[in-house]
Amino acid sequence: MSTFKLIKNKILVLGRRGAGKLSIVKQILSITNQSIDDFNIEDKNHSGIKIPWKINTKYYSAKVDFWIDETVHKDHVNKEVIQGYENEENGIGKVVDAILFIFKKDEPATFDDIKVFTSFIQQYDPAITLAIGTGKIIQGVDDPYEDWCLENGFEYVDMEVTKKDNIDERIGIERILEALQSNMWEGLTRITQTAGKSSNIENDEYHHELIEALSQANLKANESTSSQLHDHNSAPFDDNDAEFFGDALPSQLEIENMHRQIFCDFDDEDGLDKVLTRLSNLREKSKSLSDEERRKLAASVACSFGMHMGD
Amino acid sequence: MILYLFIFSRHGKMRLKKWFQYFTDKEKTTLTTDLTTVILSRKRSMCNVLEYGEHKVIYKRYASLYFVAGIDWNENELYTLEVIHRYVQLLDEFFGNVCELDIIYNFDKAYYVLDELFMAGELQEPNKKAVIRHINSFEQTCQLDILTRNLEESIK
Repeated sequence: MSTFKLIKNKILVLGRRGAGKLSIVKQILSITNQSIDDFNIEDKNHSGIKIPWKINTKYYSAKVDFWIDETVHKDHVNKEVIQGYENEENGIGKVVDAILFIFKKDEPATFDDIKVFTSFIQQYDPAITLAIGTGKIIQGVDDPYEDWCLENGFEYVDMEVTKKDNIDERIGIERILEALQSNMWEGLTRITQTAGKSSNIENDEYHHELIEALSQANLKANESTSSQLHDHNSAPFDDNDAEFFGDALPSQLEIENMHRQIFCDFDDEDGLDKVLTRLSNLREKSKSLSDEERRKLAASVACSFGMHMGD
Repeated sequence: MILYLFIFSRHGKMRLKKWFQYFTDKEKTTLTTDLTTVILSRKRSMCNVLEYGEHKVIYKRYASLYFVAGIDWNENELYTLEVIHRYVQLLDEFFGNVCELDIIYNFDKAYYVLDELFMAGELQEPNKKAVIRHINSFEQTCQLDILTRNLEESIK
């Protein structure tokens, strides 16, 4: 019997037919430079469609899925469907961590569709619950939506609202994206920040790149050691760094040349002073180089240090 | 005096909590739950000051986050709002156009800035440049420490 672990990374998109569920999903994918397969969504009935989405932020990436389901008028609700959602054995509540409910603002009846799902939401408590209003604004009709949302823990997002100049706040599709990105999704992969990645250290770029190169050098040394320990299929001296990292790492010849250039007379009486002078000259030289060349120079200096200390 | 300071999201997820006065664990839990519920149910047009038990609560919404400060009765509410705003400005300057994700994944740095700004519930450093300078030098010290440890490990 397979042990399949349920990952809570599904976004349930609910709404009446024609409310704009697919349109919202398409907009989200479009903003994040991803596309949707059209071949399986030609039918107007979008119930049961699953659309994969990869969330990429500067801190993590996560694979999630949009699950689209259609809602109906409360008088036509099939109770078995609602019970199916609430039934623990079906596992829907265990995998859904966000609910996007889309309704038409000019048709208040479409908003009432979510009320049958209230018990499901209270039972499983998804992290994100958004009520998204599409269509044109009708004067004075917004307030009932917002009141219900406030009482029931939904965040009301108006797709038609215009941005006010003095308020620095995301609205519409950007707010939906922000809300989805701010959740800690199960199964996310952290993007490791290296030592020199702090955004406020701006006064010494060369220092920053040297730190980054050394941190990376240390990480890669650890990784190659561990792969030699655990990868029984590879030959002991297999070095695939050049294959994986391409031009990022300096070649052995470049490292040896740099080492000779910096440390040639290190053992002399004033050898250390000369080394430091050479380093500061290299720093001055690097200011006139492009970003890529500067990183390469920093990497070769860092590796030459490592070579010197390994002697 | 500021008694406590929270930051939570519009979905009620707590992002930062700092207590400047002693509360029991039960009181802390009750306070955070109650205030989160009350503040999230308030509309945009409602007042930013409310009374809670024996103290006042000042809150302000910035983008997707609510910044909440509990103060005692003789503290000035508008001054507290300014202090919260100063904290937000510092976060913005430190992280560079701060967003909720920065506070989630760099909560330690958010606490550093808070600790530089406040001490024992009072504003201890009103100068923005001084705070940023202190945090930057602290960050540099941390990076030098990491660099030194990396060099030591590479020597071994």
